[in-house]
Amino acid sequence: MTRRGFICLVGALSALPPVAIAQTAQPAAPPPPPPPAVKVGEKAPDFKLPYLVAKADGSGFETKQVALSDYLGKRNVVVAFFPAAFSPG
Amino acid sequence: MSRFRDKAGEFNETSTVILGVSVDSSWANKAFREQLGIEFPILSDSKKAVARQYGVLNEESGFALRTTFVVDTAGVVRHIDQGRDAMDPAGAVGVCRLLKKGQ
Repeated sequence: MTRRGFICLVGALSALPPVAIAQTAQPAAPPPPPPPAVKVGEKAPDFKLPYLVAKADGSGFETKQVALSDYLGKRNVVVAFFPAAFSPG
Repeated sequence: MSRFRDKAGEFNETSTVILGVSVDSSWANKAFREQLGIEFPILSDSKKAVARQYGVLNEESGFALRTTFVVDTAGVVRHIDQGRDAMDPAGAVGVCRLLKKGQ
């Protein structure tokens, strides 16, 4: 690049408003996720889903079903949906 | 889920059960639990019906959106964290402490 060309480039960059530079430097934030269908103050819909547990005799695994209603009147439950196994977080 | 694993003791102190839910198979979730040393269940919503009912299914990707629901002993939702907020279970722990005090 010639010296003159360099000066022209610097001049063009400095002419850009700072906001424009800031916008190109940072990727746009992802849009917020849509609100869930179930809201605070509502009954949590019951569900029954499986997971695998080791058999007591050590001979492998068996499927166990867990229902949200198993804990009604007994325990608070944190239901944590996450995208996929082995995803961070 | 590793942050929920790290807070499992604090949840336990508030008599709270943690249930992870993803659309993966039982075997994938079992391997995930073993890799991270997670003791609470990670349930398989492989038909995606529960994620859809709760309104946390990304229909495009087919994966659940990261969302935490705190449900009290009466089965009522008391707190929801979504997206980035749901990465950190600290807010949910705080709500569970308050619920425990009130029970």
